[in-house]
Amino acid sequence: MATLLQSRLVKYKCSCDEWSALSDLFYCKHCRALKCRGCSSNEIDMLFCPSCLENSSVTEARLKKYRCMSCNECPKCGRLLAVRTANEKFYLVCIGCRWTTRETDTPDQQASSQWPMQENPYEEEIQNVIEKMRGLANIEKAQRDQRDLKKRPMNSGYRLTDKFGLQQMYERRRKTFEKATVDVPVHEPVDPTPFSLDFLSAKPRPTLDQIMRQPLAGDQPPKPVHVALKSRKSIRCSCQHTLVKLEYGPSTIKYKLNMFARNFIPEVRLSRTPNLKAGNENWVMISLTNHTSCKLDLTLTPESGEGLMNCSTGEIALNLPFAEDSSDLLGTEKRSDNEAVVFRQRHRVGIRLDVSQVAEDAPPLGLMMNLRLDDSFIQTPLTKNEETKPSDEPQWLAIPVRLTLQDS
Amino acid sequence: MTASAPAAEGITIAPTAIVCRDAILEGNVTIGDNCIIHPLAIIRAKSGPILIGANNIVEERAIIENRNTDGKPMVIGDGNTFEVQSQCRALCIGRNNVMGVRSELEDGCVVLDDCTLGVGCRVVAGQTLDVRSVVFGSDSVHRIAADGVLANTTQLELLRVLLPSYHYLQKSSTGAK
Repeated sequence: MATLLQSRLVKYKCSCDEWSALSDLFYCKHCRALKCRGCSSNEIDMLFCPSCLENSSVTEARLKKYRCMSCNECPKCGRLLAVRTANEKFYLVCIGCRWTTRETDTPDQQASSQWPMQENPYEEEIQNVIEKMRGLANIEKAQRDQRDLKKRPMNSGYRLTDKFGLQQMYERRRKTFEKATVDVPVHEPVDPTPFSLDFLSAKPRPTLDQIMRQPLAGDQPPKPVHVALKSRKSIRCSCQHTLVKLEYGPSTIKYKLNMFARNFIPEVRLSRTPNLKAGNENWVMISLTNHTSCKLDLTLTPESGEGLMNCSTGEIALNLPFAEDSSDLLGTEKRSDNEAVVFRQRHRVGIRLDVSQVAEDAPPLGLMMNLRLDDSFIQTPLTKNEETKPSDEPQWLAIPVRLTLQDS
Repeated sequence: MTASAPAAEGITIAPTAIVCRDAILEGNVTIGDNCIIHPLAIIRAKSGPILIGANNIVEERAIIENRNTDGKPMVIGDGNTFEVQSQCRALCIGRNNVMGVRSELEDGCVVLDDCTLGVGCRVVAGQTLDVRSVVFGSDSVHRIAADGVLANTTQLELLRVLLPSYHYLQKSSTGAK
């Protein structure tokens, strides 16, 4: 697909000065600028299981350690496990590597979901450590608060009525102050080390993928792995306006809002593979396609400079009809085109650019696309607080484009 | 049953076997009872005969080819399934094996019973697959499964009904005259 869309060859300059393919860019109509993933913020829209498509809230997902409780993966090859029944009990089978829960110590279950997870052997220890760290954090906080309180002797808290539960809060805080002297027992080191160095055993060792799937399993028999949840992201511009958001529901593929750059900016493609010869006068054929829903006025100026291909074609002024425009079919519109325009086909024009190549390796071809923005189709509700009314003068958007002529 | 065409010389098809007319059978091929050979399956006995047992399924564009250098027959047991575009140039094959889609058994392989060859997996020349072997994943990893393969009886029953209603068949014959 990347080859088909020429996403490696044609790059557009984002507002953050990064070069990206048009398919990777978004357009913010409020900033009137191109945005890429790097200069916009991604936020998690929804968490869902990729196999059963059940969505879960963030708190619920956190409780379940971001895993689906009803779907299981094979610990050997990572495929989704199938549920089979035998004697009115359930067991799991991998279709790929034929691993079954019957190979292990996991007994057949009464229910098809809720399979036992691999337990963390150090769970209790970790909980103890977390508890102790929490205690230490409380003590530190209390000491800090005490220092602050000393500076303000009037803030006794005794005089307040307990209408807002402040007395309770005060009491709780007082208790933490008292705890400040509690001595925390030193954590003893574990002996021997929990890491196995038994490389030379004849038993087949689990592969790196299998270890990563169940990092705490060690030498225990593998258990089915709960499928990790996937997240769907929405993209927001730095001006806080949403650029891309899908409709609610994990199975939907409809957009609530999609501000892909392709819907606003014409697409440049190399219509033929350039055949460049050193020292000769060469030409590059490009096509310009208008995927937007309105007519576009634009100028295309080849840029020359250091590290760029030398192009002798001058500025090309164009107007591009949109895909459903029928005026060209009726022949009502006459166009006086630049001689660089080779063909016109509905919403697409072919342009021939004369370039000269001196050296053996071709530098990229630079183009400056100046686009007159027709905001009328966007239908932005104008806020009353907006100081300046949008002027009738058309806004121009300048987008530098780079075309790689030699595909390495 | 639809019109049948007589099988070519050297080819023996059991009366209960279903061999589509578009299947390509070449050389000395024997097809056992209840076998199902889909259209465009290729069974080529180049350098020696091919003997196929009972209850086998050979799907579309699967290739079974005898390329043994010493002219030995290729013997295929009972209840095997050769899925779409699988290639088999093995020396001999046991019972109840499944050759997955686009899998490849190279020259001189020996496959015992209840083996599964995963999608696109490859067994290099001269290798032997033990009983209940499974080859899976993009790296063709081997392991031994605990259970055998489920028998292909339901698939056979379904195909016995479906195939004759949509394809011309090759007549069963008693072999070379």
